[in-house]
Amino acid sequence: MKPLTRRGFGAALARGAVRLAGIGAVLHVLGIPFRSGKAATTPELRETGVLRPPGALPEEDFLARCIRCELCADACDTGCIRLLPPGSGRSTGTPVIFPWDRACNLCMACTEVCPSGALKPGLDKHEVRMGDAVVDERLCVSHNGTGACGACHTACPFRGRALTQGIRNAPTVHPDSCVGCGLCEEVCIVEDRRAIRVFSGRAWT
Amino acid sequence: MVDRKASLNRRNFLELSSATVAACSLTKALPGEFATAKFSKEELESLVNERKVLQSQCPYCGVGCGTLIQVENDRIVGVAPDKLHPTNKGVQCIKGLNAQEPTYRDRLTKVLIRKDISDPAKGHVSATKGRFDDDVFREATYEEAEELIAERIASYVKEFGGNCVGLTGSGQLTMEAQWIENLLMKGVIGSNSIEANARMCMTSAVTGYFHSYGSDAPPTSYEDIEMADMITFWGHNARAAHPVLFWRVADRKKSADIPTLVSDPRRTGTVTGLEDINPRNSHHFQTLNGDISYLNAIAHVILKKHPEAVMPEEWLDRNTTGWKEYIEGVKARYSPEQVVERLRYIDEGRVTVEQIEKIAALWAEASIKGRKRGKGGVFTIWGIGYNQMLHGQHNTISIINLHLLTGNLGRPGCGTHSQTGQPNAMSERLMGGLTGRLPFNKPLANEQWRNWIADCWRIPRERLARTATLKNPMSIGMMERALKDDLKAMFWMYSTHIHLPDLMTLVRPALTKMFVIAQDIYRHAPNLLYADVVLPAATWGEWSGGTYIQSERRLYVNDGTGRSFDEQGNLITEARPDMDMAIDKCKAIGKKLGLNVDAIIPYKRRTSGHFKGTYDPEEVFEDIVRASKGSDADLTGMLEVKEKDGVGLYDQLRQLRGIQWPAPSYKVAKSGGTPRRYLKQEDWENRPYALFPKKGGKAKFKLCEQDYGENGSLLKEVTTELSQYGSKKTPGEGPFLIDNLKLLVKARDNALTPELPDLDFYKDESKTLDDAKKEDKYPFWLGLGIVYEHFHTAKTIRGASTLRLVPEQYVEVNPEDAERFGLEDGEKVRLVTRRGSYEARVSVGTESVVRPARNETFPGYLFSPWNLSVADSADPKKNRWLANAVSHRAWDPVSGQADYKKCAARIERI
Amino acid sequence: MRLPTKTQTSRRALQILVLLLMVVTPILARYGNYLSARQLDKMVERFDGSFQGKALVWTDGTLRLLAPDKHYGEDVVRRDRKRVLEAAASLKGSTWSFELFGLSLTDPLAVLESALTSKALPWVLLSGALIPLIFTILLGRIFCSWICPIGFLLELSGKLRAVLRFLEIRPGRIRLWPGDKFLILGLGLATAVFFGLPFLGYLYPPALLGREIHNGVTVMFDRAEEGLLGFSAAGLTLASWFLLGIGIVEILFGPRLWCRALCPGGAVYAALGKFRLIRVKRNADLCTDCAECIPVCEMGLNPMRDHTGIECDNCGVCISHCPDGALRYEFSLSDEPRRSSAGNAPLCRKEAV
Repeated sequence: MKPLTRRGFGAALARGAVRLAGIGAVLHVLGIPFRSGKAATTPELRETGVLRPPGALPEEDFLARCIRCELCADACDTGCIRLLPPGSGRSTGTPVIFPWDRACNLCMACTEVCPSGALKPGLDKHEVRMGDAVVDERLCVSHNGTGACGACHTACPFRGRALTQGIRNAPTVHPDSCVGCGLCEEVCIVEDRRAIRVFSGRAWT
Repeated sequence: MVDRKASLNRRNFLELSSATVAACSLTKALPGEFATAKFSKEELESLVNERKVLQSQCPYCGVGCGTLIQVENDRIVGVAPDKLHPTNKGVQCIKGLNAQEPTYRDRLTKVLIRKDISDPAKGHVSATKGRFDDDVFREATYEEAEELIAERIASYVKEFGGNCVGLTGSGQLTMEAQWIENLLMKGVIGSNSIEANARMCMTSAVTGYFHSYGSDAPPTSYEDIEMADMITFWGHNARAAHPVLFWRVADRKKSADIPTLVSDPRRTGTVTGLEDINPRNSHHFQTLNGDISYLNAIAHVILKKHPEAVMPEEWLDRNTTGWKEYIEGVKARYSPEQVVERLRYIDEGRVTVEQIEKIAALWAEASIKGRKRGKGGVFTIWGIGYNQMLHGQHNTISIINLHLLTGNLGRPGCGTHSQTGQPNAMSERLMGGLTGRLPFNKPLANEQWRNWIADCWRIPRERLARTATLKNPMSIGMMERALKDDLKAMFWMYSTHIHLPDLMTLVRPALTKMFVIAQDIYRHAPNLLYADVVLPAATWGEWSGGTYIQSERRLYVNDGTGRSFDEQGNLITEARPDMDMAIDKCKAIGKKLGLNVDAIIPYKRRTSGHFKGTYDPEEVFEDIVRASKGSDADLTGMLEVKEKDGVGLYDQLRQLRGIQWPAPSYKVAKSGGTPRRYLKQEDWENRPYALFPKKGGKAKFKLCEQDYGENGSLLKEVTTELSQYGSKKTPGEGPFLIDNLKLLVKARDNALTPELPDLDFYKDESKTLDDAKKEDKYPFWLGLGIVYEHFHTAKTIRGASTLRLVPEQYVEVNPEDAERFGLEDGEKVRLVTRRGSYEARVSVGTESVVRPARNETFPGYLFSPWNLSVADSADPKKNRWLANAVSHRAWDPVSGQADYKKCAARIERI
Repeated sequence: MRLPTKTQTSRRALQILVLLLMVVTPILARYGNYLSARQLDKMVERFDGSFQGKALVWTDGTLRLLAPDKHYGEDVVRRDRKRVLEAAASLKGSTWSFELFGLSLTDPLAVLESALTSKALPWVLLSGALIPLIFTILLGRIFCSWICPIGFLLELSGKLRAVLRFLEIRPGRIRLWPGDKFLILGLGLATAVFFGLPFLGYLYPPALLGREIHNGVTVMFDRAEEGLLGFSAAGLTLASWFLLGIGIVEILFGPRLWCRALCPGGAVYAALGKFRLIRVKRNADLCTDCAECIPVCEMGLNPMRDHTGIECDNCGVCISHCPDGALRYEFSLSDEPRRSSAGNAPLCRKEAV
């Protein structure tokens, strides 16, 4: 190695700064989809918030803790856990459940397998709080008088407590007992926009 | 539906998102917009414009909700409840709301002929029966298959006589198809061996109605529910089986706070649903098989304690016969104390004396209220569970007895209402599609009417007279006849053999022997396992019309697209409406038998228009309406309307959202038919009968008895004798019950069950499930029934929405039993009876993880739905859920209906 | 210490196995979903003849070897669902975080980043990294050479450079300062600390590859459920372009450019491997200075000059290429070459001669 002169040191420092700035700039560009992109945001998600697997820490902690591996999705019994694609901001690569498509059956395998502790292990399925199911009485066929459906009640794993039925099988959700698994939303027969939906309370950031 | 394509689903979520990243960063477009932008404005408009709406009746249960079929480009894309239809008023249950889903799934696209065909004439039994893989069939043209069928059938008829050919029709066929099918069998082939799945559904009610009133069908309307002062359900889980009807009852209970009673061995959703509204006046008789006695006991209490509710003697005398004997018998032998004691062997006092007295008081109160007001009273609804007993006819008669005694008929708001299971079972009965029946509620033995129908069918009168001499001991007996080589060939039209009891030792061996022709819509339908010739059929929503009659006697038209498609959206050119195929068979077989077929079938295929190439069901319907003249189901008023107002027959049905038969005059037809029958409620000048269409014009009382003998001794004796019929050791072999009908009569007359579990074994606390297997004991009662999410066995299990709700076979077990025998909730077990077995998941109580867990059974009673029988696989090698493998074949000697509700079973662990 | 001569074969085998496992895990997961929902036979039937169908059939066949069918009575044979499901659940994840028969293996980079973003290091997180840490500290940067699927793919794509040369296109030979990866690591960790964004997880190719394969396979099955059978790239996202870009740069501009100079994970492993116990050592006495080892070194090092330092990933390619047997793995804490007993042997024998 050449002996360091003061001039040489200054030049090296300058070179290092330039280097750092260049790398920073490249990383900045590469990072755009992970910071500001909202590509995966859909009207549904914006409204209901993003539904995380059972046992997920509060959103801010969850995002910090999750290492974006796919273990929970691989462990999932129903295949309901999806990974958000690049373009989803800080949520890129994090697990999400779209209950209208496939809902969580509370097998809790994901919490057992999570390597980061972002999904709290050892929870009983009664203690899970993924969100709250909310019935839209204008859309629900049993409420608006176009049917006597009852699908959500059949699907609810805590039927009788979390979800009860009234006249023409019209559902009522009891938030105290509702775990927000989304099984009701999965089976809801209102196709385009479910009449019962799980609101996770996790704003899309 | 347009929106659905645009909305997010799992697949396009990720697919889109990668694309949108690029798109968003460039255009700043919102992803939502990006998604909907898949359709241009013009495309969206054209899609909307191409949408048509067709009127029809829901293809599922017998409530008969008005359904609007939404059609795009000749494809059914959705269904919606019809707000204008008086039955459902815009409400439908989950099955009806998703009726479009299974339409294009797993469709049969080609005519198939089995390579190795069974030929009973030569004694050849196909080696490939029981398989439906592609390699056992060859594809054929419709013409080839028709020629084969005609030739075979004609040769059998010539060799063995017409009665060697059997047919099972369906309560899902249109009325027109049933008319033709009956003509094919009784007229052309000359066979009396015609049955339908209506036999296992409603014939107990039918024969009961004939016995008491003299004519079939409920004399009531659904609107009576809204006027009733008390509603009772017997053997009917209405909330699951007929939800729209149940919610009408619930609405009535909510608004008028009327008392209700449900008689059911389980605490079903019906019971809890009514209790949710008002638990104080909702009652439940948790009885197995005891309905006759309890009805008699109610009559006893009313006679003794509430004589003011009994109709005056002179009224009874003027309107009825046999009432004196009935009153005497009831008073002598059916006090609540006697009844509870007599039934203790099975019911174990679950129904108490106080309950009976309470119900009797409520019944009396409602009867008096209704009588005073001139409308209202007690409205009784019963379902298939009540009909499916060895004494089904007596069950019906017992209900009618009580109604006659308390005068709960002949005015709005009260009456006896049997709720049909199939959407068009009523028409199967009205069209006489059963052994020994003629269209319009007349027996084949009635010479005058026989000649009239022969004329309407344009066949020689003596041909039908010859058919009238033939015997067929109804559906199950017909299978036994096949085993005795008395039946050579069989048609299955829109019906499946798995609805019959005792499949493994009776039905399937019988079908293996015969030459079987199946018309089916699905490729993996169990009927194909035993069919030699398979003809793809068009299903509901694909016909060019066709009439259904639902439970309140309402005729309604089923419009359709006229096109069938497979899952990939390809047109199925080979699928034809069942009526067309029946017409073609009439022609082909009639020709071979030397009949003048052109005279019998004057109908011509349409040569132009959207429905080109098919027959016009409206032509057939007009023939039917014309033939109804002079019967108690006279529809000729519709013809008058057609003549005077120029409104076509189908158009009348469409505009009025159905017409309730009879509609004998212009006025009645114009006003939507007759809502109520009997006791001069019909607006009918020259009615062909007086008060009731019975000889003498009077309704008939008959005291039906029930007695299990001292400590169940009679029950033990008869069930022991019955247990030799059907054994898995010797499937397909005798003895046969048709040779021992006396036994059935004996069982019926004492209102017994087909089987009796080893109750002593059950009561012995030390016994375990393994002991039952070791000692070959069957300690449990097992009942088969239905589950709300599914309708029978073909369609809803192919619909994603309904299948995912209740995806697998289960068995409801009482928590006490589960604890005692160590059965875990969700565990998989095998249910075994003397005749067969199936697998199911244990569902303990109403908190079970096994869906739907709505009902509670009593200790010792198990329940499984039969709807899911082939939801795992129709192939017997893979199928493990076949519920009817275990049921017993014993049937009501009059109605022919089997008892699926009381098998003796044991649970084996897997 | 002389490892078996099949070093390179075993390394290749391990690399292939790892890549295969990454493809297999999402298939196993989906197989488990179907089996659990009792849809497997239906789906096999529905997917008949396509990649998805075959994948399910093979998976089923393999797992049923592990968990044999149960026999009931005379002729009832059936899949032992419970045990098959257990077997299917024994492999999960990708190299970013993997679970093998209940044993959690997590990339130290993931642990580092998660700990920094959440400002906490819970035991679950740390425990997953223990085995990789121990292995790295003992054996050096072997993740890069023996396991990393991207490293494997880049090694393979490096062979394409020969094709380019054959076509008489001279691929570039850019060399970047290996310290750049530490800059990237530092910047990434700073982002993690200050913005709570696990940026390196989004940049680290093995993690990206894991997610891409997972999404790709999942979407392929989703499409199959809707009747669109066969292969499809529909599930791949932007990350695939990034990975492809790395590959192309590698082929056109410089071999193992990413791994040598940019990979933040490589930086972590390199730093951790500083005091590794096993190193490639040259026996100066045997070395003939043939320089065979220099062009083959994936990391662009010069084994002949020793002092490979933290950059050496112990892949052993130089060892297998050395005609004189002068290079070998040895237990040592330093990079000093082994010298003959004379003690003052010159640096290179040739010079001495």
